[in-house]
Amino acid sequence: MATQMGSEEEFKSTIAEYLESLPAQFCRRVFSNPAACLAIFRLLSTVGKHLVMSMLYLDSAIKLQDVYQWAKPDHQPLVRSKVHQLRKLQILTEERGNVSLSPVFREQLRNALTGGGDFSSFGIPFTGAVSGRVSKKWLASYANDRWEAILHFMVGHSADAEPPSESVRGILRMSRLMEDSAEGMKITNSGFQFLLQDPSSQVWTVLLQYLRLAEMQEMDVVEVLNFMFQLVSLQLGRPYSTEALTRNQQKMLAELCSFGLLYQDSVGAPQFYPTHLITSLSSGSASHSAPLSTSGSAATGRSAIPAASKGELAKPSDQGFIILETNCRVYAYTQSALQIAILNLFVHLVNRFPNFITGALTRDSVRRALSRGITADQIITFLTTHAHPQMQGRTPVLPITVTDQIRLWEQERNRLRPTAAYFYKDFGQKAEYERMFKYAQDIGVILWASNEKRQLVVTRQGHAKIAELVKSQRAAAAAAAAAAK
Amino acid sequence: MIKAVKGTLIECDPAAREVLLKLNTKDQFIIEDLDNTHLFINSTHLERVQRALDELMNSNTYEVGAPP
Repeated sequence: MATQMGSEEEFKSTIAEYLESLPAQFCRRVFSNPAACLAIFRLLSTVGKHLVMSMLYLDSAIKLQDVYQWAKPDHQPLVRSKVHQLRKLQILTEERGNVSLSPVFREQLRNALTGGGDFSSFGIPFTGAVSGRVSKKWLASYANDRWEAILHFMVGHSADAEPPSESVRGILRMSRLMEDSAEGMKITNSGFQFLLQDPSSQVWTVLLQYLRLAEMQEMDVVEVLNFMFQLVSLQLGRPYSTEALTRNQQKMLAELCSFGLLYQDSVGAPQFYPTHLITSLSSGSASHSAPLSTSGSAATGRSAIPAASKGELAKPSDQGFIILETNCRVYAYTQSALQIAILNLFVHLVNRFPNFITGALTRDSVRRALSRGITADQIITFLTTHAHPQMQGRTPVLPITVTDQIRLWEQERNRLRPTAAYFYKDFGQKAEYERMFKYAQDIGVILWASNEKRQLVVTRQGHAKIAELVKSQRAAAAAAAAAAK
Repeated sequence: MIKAVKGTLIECDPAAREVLLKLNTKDQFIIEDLDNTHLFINSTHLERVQRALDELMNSNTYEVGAPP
């Protein structure tokens, strides 16, 4: 469970990490945009949201100690860590023990919630005449087709489809999901891991990569970020005007279209439509995590899925289709060549029928996946999220015997845990050993130590520092000896 | 006088350690047998040892019934 939530946390932390890495004046510029503030607010954890909400209408700073008092004593560490996170994101500012929301963020989040300020940051709806053919349903199938075509290309089953555009391939190459080889592009280990992620994590990965690309091309990152946050707060199925977009944003628009995140009737058309891939990023993360939150109570976990965000958009292939038996056999109700290709990464497939395939998890098939860099947790998360509705009702979703077995297979591969190190032995005196032991302990480089044998193993980095210490001690001793003469 | 030796620390379960000790009789790669779960070995042999252990473990695995 913890690990399953882990993947969810991870992708959020990556966009958070990116924001943290921005210098202060950049952050202020990002915050000056109500849509960005709202999108960031939506990405915060529940406790983080609580903290921001409680402080939103406070005009003066309050004592940090008072903030901690909001939680019961046994939950204070959690609040502390959240406060720390918010400060790293530069949402909270601290001055002499008093904290307050960053003034820009406070003002713009108020604007976002209550209306007012510059609302064009939420996208300008297109008011001209539009063709009637773009409906929510059509957009969903368009986006899924585009996105799956890219995933297809990655697994190398693109014989019947044309390869994706150069910019898509460029991003796949840059993010090291694929690499060039003699016979065209080839998927890498991180590409295999990418395939097993849920769609929203995948989209985040692509967007983050796009930010890095923008940096490399010396585009204004704030412009790109603001546009990105604007896109995630758009409403599905409505046309938006491209008029107010800058040139960089126009360029980005075209490239995101090729990923199926947006749709334009034609290149340079005056309107564009967001698809569910991008609009569900900030709001829909809850619906993606819902199928995962199975350990507590499966029933509440299932009812927590908002009907609207799941029902009308999810293609049959997005719903659970895998049945896993306690004897490791796998039955998957799917016709999608992509899903079959992904399953083939770690399942020994046996039969294929018109609407379903059978196979089994075997030691060899799982080891093959492990050797490609896929982790046991990724396999388990994938099987859990795609479990058939019949299995979703159970706690845990997957048979424990099978999940344990997968983890055991992984452990078996990593029986030796090697660490590059230095080994110290033959200490002359006890005091000498203890002095070095103490020093190594202080700088935290000890891997193994034995007081009886007076032996010590430290990391490579630790060795350099210890060597310096010994050298300076020798020099000091030599100087002392010279002075004594 | 203190001696510092460069190498690789291996953390493993006692069973794997026994296997490594057995492999060590053929060609000496263990620099120091630290304790039940730790060995200090020559870094250049690491990959070969890992492969050898993996092969040995593989030959000791039996599938219960052929895959369907």
